[in-house]
Amino acid sequence: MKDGIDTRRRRLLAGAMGVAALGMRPVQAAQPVLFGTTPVFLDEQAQFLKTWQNWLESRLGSAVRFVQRASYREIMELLLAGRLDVAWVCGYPYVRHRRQLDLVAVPSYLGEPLYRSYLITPAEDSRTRSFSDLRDRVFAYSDPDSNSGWLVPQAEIKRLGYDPGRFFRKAFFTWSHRKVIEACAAGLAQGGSVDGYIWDTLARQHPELTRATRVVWRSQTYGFPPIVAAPGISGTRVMALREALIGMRHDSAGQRLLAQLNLDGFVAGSASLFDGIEQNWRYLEN
Amino acid sequence: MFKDLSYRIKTPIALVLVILVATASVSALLVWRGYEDARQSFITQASSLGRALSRTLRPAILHDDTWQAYETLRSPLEREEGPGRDFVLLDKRNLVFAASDPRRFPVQERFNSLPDDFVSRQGGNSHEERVFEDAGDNFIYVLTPVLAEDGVELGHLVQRYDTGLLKPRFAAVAQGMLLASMPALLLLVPLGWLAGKRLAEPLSHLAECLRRVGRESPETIQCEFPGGRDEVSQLAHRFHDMLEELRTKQSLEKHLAQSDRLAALGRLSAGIAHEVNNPLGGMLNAISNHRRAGEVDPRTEKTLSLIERGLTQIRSTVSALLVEARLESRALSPADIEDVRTLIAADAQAKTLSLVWSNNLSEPLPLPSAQVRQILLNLLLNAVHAAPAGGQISLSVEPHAHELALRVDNDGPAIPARRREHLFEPFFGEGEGHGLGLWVTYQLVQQLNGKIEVDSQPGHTRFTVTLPLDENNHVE
Repeated sequence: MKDGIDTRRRRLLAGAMGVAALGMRPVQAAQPVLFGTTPVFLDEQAQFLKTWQNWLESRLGSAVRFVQRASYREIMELLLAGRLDVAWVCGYPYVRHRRQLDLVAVPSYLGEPLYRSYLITPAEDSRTRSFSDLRDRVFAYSDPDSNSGWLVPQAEIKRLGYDPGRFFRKAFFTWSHRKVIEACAAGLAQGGSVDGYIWDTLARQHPELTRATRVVWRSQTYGFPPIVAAPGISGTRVMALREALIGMRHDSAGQRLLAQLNLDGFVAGSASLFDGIEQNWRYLEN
Repeated sequence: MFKDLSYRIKTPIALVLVILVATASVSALLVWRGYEDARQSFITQASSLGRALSRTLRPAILHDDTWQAYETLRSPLEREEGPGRDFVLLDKRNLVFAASDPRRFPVQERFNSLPDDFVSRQGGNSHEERVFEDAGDNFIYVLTPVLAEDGVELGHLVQRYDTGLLKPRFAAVAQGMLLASMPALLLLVPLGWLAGKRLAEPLSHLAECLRRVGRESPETIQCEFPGGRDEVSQLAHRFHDMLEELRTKQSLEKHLAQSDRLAALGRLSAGIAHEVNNPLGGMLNAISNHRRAGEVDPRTEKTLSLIERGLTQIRSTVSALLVEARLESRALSPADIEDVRTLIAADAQAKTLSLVWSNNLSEPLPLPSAQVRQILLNLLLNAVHAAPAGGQISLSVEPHAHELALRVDNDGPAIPARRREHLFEPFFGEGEGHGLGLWVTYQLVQQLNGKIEVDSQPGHTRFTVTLPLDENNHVE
């Protein structure tokens, strides 16, 4: 609870500073906004990122640079070290570093800032109903810092009464949700945990890929991977970014970008959205 | 069946067959060689790909990163997608670590396509790639070890190729060979055929000629053979000799038969002539005695004259048949020849014939002039008779060291073959003359030990008489 109050206070402060900063745009323009992305969304589409960058730059009046790394961990390390201004990360690392990070905005998916984790198998597997059917099989996780692709299945397996570390015959990371789907589609893994939003979006954009997989189980909802600000980022910047992101849905260019992201828009969100993730984390820690 | 065929067919077929078989076997050999080369280069390519992949796979297997291994194993397939190529990474226990087609080779399953002892063979060369081919299952396996920095074996990369992948290469090589050998065949086959025909031609020609022997008379068989000393030429040579001998023998036989016949005829006619001459002389004597004896009334005289004329005609015919050789005669002089010319001139002129006269006799020869004159006269009269109106006849008298050659030519039609058989026989004429001219000529030539020959073709007929100049011809 202490965290919640802290964040709220910080956000108020940041808001005040943001208002003040509106008059200081030229100074800000000198420093580009470094925006880290992770595979919580389909961040491998360069054309989309370019368009989004242009849109954000026109809104913020300052340069924006997207920064991509191979894993969630690298982006988190850069963010915590202040080498990035903001980053779109998973709820799980956000929860773990909640004290240091500011919540900028949370994407809204299907009307809520929530998403689920899916358990998928190759399409030809019609037998599997839950994790317990996948015991001693080969399993694909997306990233050890992912909520939907690691934390949720780990907690589920533990809840079923197994040791998550020894449950599968073999488990491996693909370092991206999309590749978890590919691994299952190819039959490399007999099961995989994947971000439900990514699976749904790919089902619309690349149905041939998701058609080779079958969703076996859907988790409860968790807070959607948020956009968070690095420690020590000026409140005005956070404020400006939040305004811009939330404003995307009121702008035709922004709407087009959101349509590409398969999102409704961005909302301010609250830290409590991620309590479910925290509970799983704590559950596994014990 | 093949035995019955002519060499004219057999030899070209054999040559063409040899060419075809040779071309086919050389092509097959080259195709096989090309296929082997293609296969070898295929394996070399696979081996170098295996080495490159195994280096890339090292961190994946070291960090237990199945996904990275999978992406690496997929990378060669992304460039050219196609069935028949599989890449499998095995861990130390020979379990599948990752595979380009995980459905065929599921992760963590045993890899059963290769014999275990082949994969985990220990020895000096276990750090090198190995190729395994099982004739039974149509796959080529290329095994490359994945080594850590220090050379410790972390696992194995197995590349499995369907041998069907080599088929297009094989087809390409075979097609190339076919394209190359076709023009060669197009050139060689007709050449072989021609060569075979040329080789067999003299042989079959010889066989053809041989077949004609016995069916046709040797004179009409005319066979030309190219010169040379090979077996066929030798055969042809022998055949020619044989044919020549046959011809000589036949003409000799014919000549012999003819002279036998003529000799018999001579004897017969001489016998008859003597038998007729004796009573004839008596009868003629009786008539002359009767006239001398006294008055003969006109009626009897008429009868006697009739009988006398008939008997005289009989005597002249018989004496002509008898060919009186023992006529007293002097040596033949050039003037005798000229006399004959005078005698013939009137007849020749009547038919407006041109007369070509070549008398090379310059001094008397020891030959009886009467007989020679008779011979020349007979032959020339025949020539005048045979030559067409306005035609030409010629005489050539040529003395040689031991003989005299007389040649009489005319440009009349050829003597019919039927007539030639019996040319010198008496009374064989076709109505003209009494048919004794050539008979008498022949008898005279025989008595002088000479030879008479005739060569008759349409437009040119020649009689050649050769008379030896020896003591047997009694000349006073």
